[in-house]
Amino acid sequence: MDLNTERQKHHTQNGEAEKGIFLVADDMFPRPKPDRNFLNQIRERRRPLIVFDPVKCTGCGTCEMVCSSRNGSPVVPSSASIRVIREERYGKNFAIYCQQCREPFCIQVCPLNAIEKGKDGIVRIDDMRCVDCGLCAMACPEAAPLVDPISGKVHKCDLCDGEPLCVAHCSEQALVFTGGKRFRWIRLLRWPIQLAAFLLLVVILMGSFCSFVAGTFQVSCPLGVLQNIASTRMLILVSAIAAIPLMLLTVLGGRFFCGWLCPFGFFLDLMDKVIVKRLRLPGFLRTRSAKYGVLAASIGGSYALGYQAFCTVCPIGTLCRAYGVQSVFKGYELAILPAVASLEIGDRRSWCRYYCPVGALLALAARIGLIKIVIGARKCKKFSCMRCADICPMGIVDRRELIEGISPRLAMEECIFCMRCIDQCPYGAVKIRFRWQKAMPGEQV
Amino acid sequence: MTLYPESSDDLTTEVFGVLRDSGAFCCVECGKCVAVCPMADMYPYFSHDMSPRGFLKAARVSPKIIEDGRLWCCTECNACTETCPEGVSCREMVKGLKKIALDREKADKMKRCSSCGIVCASTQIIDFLTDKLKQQHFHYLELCPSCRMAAYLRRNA
Repeated sequence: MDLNTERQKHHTQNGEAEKGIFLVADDMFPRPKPDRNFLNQIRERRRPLIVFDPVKCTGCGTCEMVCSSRNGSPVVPSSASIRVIREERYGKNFAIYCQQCREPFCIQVCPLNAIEKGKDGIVRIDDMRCVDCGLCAMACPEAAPLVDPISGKVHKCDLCDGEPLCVAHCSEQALVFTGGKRFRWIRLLRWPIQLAAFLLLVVILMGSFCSFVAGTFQVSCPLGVLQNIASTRMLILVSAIAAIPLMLLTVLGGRFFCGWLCPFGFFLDLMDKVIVKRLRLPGFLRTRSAKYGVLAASIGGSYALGYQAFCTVCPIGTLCRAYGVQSVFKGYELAILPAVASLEIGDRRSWCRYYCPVGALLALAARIGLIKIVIGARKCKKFSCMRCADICPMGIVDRRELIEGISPRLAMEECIFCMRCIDQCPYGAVKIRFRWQKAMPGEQV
Repeated sequence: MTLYPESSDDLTTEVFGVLRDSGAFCCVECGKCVAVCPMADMYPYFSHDMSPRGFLKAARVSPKIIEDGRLWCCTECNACTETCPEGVSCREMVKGLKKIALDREKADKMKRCSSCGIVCASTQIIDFLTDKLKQQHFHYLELCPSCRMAAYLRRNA
């Protein structure tokens, strides 16, 4: 409901809503709609920004002084648009300044609509309209629009229209003006590998994918092996050992199988490129722990029925068996792929997120995995960027935590190691680390 | 039509002092402040009683104004002062009244910073922000700006 209708409702005469139009600031300066132009969105990803390195900062305050010289009257740190806060006890310094968010909160809350985002991606306060109410500072997670305690004016960084003075004067190069990383090579590596794995497993190996033999060396789907043991009720050591390589690799390198090799995952990734609009699945369909239930049910089902129950409907297996070159039509197996893939209209990789029991088995191994993907707190731009949260196919980057200004910890059992976040982070904040390494200051590992 | 000089208890004297210092008795009720007040764009229930003019008028009549919740709707911007032809500083008046209300613990609408405890916002303003931020309430809204910055330092440096 817009402000006008709401106000008509609030002002009542004899129990009837008062008619008439109440002019508000939005009528005079309409708020801009979110930009859906593809080219602008790409330009937006590359927008230049000031990046701050707390390790190099000595807290000298030169940036504050040069900045305040721009803002007019007295040259004092308090009238600057950048503020260095100092923790003398630990010798830590940190600079607070506007990050020129992609979807700025200050624009949403400004009652007079005085804040605008220009075509160049710089968020500016229009001095003619601003009344210094300070609501933008209240709404900003970092409180970056600074309220000058002396004059009461609100100052906000406008990047000096592209040539920031603070960067030019920072003697330690703690402030760097950069457009972010440009070349993204992991993407160029992953798609060919996924395609090769898809062709290899679906077209060439075709069905023998679930258990692959080369001489004495044997690799099997770990879930298939478990079901085999459950259905035959005997442990054949050779086939059991065949499940070990994939599990071991998952402990060492996370669920890379899901992100890089799984042919069904590749198919879902391709679907993601096609789907334009997504629907919101009902809540009961979106429980991540459901996949462990499916895992238990498939093993229990195999035990009860006496054959590998899940393998008959497994999307990965049926994709390989029913859609290969030689077996164009294979009865009911043809129907499983479209049925499961249609879940994709809800979330990206819905099947992998919520139901895949193979993924659940690998997730158990990844829980005790040796490596992790971390979002380094120092370089991460958090609420202003949120690129990783947009790009993650498993949706494990917590948007809410990013908005609160926390670099979220990623749950490795859910991560499929597709490395999209590492690839796409413009500031190189996302990295692969060992389990015992720290990601942010003061973190307990 | 002010009642002020006649009664002489503590509260009346203090409120009178605030009104006198901010020049509230010079108000000519021209309404220029109402035209520029950002509260009109913030609250759907904006009315004469909570506009700068109406509020000032009510404050001149009775010192009981400090118990009024609408005192805390004001964002303490400077729009009304800048436009006032008589030089009435509504911001100073509201600041002073808020201080009196705090001293007498009549301020149930105010919000304290959950970390350092200074008064940083009011219920109405936080409600407005929550409403604008797509009905999402974030934890950082409960911190004062300087505590937010300090939290950033602790997390990232």
